[in-house]
Amino acid sequence: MAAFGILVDRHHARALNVAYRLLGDAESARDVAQESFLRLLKAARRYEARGRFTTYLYTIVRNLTREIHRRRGRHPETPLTAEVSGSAVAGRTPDLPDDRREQEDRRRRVWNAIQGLPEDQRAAFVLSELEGLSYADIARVCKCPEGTVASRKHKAIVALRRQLAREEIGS
Amino acid sequence: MKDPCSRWAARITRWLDGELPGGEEAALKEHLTSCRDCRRRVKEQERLRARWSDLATLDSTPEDRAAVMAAAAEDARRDRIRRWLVPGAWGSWVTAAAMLGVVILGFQAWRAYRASSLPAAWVASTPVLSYVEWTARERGDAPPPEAHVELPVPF
Repeated sequence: MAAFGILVDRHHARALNVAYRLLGDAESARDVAQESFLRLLKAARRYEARGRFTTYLYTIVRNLTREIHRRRGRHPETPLTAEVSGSAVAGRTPDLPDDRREQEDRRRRVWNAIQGLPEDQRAAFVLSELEGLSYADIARVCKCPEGTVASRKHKAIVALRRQLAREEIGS
Repeated sequence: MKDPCSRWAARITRWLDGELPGGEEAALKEHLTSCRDCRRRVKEQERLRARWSDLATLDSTPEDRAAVMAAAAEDARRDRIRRWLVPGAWGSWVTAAAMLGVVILGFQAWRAYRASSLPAAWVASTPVLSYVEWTARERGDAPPPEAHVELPVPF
């Protein structure tokens, strides 16, 4: 259990944030992070150190988030805009100075655009762009060829560029 | 109108990710020297990537981690109970003993059944003293052990 405690201390933040970015809400992300570690512990005897440990952890997190998506039967609900800045402020932030508020709005737009991506593209995008995994590692996590990862990632970038451009024109 | 450089667009993404194979990278770089649109694409993607560099993160609090440890301890406790209820290595010995018990009980039942219809001497010639046999002796229906007649057991 002591070794498990070290693993949790070291990797909980990572599991939590990747779940948060894949799901879009903090509450579910906390549940997924916890469940990931419990599954990790149960599978400890079967674990073979063939790749990096973090890749293994990401695979568990991704599988759990996919289960949640399937249960929801569609893309995740609208993300909680209050959490985008990491603060507990709902919606727009009238107390902040204009430049800070603009920055918060920009972040919210980016977050919403990411959450609007199809699940497989979002996984490729989050794991590559935000978590810094190589295509080979993402292919292992998503159980698909590297070429598919490259294609999903590119589609995600194109979709984000379009979406953000559209929103900027709109605002 | 179809973009003549569309085939390079995906390669630009891979290149910026550091995932473009060497041969293709050289070809892309050569293309970039002569294509203004693709150079603009590269700049655009670089600007775009800067936009999600400061996305919010969730803090992993000590309470979160403690909750994981508590859930793991609870899981381990449940596992121990489950393992105790569903025997592992010693289960085969218990199964063997139970099967032997069933065989002995069956044999005794069979003997009891036979004792009701066979001469007492037959019953007395079998090695295990059954309840029926014992009660027969008590009543004086069966011959004493030293006087029993050797008869073949009919099986």
